[in-house]
Amino acid sequence: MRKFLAEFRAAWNLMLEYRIMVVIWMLTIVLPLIMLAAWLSIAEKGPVAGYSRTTFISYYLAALVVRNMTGMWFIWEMDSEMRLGSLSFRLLKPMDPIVHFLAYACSSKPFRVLILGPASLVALLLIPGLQWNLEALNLLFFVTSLVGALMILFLMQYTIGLTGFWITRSISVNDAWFFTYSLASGYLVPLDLFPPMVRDFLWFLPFRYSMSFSVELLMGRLSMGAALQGIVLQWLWVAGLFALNRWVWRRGLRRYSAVGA
Amino acid sequence: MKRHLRILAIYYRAALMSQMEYRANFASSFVLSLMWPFWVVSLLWVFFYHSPDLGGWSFYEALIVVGMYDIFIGLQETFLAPNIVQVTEHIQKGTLDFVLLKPANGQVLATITACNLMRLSDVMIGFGLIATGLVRLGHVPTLTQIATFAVMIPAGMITVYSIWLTLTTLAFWFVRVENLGEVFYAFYETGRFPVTIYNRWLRLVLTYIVPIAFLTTFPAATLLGKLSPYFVLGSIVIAAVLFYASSRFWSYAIRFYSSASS
Repeated sequence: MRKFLAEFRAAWNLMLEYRIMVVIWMLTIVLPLIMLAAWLSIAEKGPVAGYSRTTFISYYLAALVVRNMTGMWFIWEMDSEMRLGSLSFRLLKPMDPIVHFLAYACSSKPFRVLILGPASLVALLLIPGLQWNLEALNLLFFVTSLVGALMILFLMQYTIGLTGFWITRSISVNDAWFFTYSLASGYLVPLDLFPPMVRDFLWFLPFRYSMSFSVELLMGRLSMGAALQGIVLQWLWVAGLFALNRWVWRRGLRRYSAVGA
Repeated sequence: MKRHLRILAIYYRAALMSQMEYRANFASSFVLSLMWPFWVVSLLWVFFYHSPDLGGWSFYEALIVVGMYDIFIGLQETFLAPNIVQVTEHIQKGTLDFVLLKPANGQVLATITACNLMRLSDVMIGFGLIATGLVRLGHVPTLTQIATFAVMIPAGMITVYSIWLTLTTLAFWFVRVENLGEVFYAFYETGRFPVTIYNRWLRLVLTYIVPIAFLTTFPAATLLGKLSPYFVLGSIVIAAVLFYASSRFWSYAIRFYSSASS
């Protein structure tokens, strides 16, 4: 934990130099808003599968909050370290590189809270009837689910990054993964709006727990039982992905030293 | 003019040769671009699962708008985006002097010589989606419709070039402008769907201020006969005005550049 905090402080200082860029990145996430505009034009004639215009607005604003708190692109950093060989120096340190990359991935999050907090308040004031459940217990569940979602996304991206031990284009794999994630997680389309068979299938995948589950919690759409069950399933996915990640890491490391880099 | 076209041909041939050397790279971006149409079509399909139309457009009509979006994203990524990266590098390192010293038009050399030909795959996918839409609609465009469509693509390309040129030129004052490119992409994303889905204010902005509607919705609409062919005049006027203004801005900035450094 101490190591993580030290790494985090270093990454945070680095991030502060780029804070304007962080703001620009936050502003340029527009695809969910475009999807929202399209749904609003359809919902003019009446609710779509139980979603009114206010439900859509509540959904996509929540999705933006979740995306901002969980999204990360540290794979670029990983890719360059693996190709240029600076990973070797990292391996010499008495600390697993996963700590460094996790700190790096989290570094802009406190800054984002500072912006998203006031922005959410403004949204609550400006949009009457925003369907967000802000009770203390529900918010506690929500924040817990955000940590879980962040861990799922982190472990997925880190594992994809590790495929760089075998192939040179792990970034392409990550791009393909991002397309899948944006459709299957509820980031661009609420999972409820897929045909029932597709939705049930998507509920089996870890993607729901990296986005949709947190959104459903914030919107207060889940009963207490469903929320608890979801948190348990989410952390089971975290554990499973962590085990997969460690396995790939050990295999990859052997391969890395075999090349002699 | 002819001389500059020859110079461009030489630059593009060199780029093609160097990009063909990374074959694995070439193959993987090709596989990725095959995933892309599947992704956009499913996105579009979810809307039509719940509604017979999207802003007054049927599924296959909207597919043509998506095709236009892909064509322009492909053209931008191929011919424009690599240049903004290159010019900012030149400005940061001060090597733009060498480019400007060459005996040809500096604007041509600095802003359209770099290219990433792999992204032409998006242009092909775009035309594929448009063809699919037309076949499924059973719509055979008239000669006028094809002609206006054929003029609106290069006019749109000049419009996009002018916007990129303005952004690039800003690099003389703000050294890091890659991020401004992101802001333009944010606007461009709105062209993915027919402009009629947006509310009135946004629609006005997207038509007259950042003319994204003239890139994707209007060409698709003229091809389908949903819009009068006279709209082609609008594209031409916008392209001409923006091209003239942005070129003047560039030459003004160049004067500023030479007096500031070196």
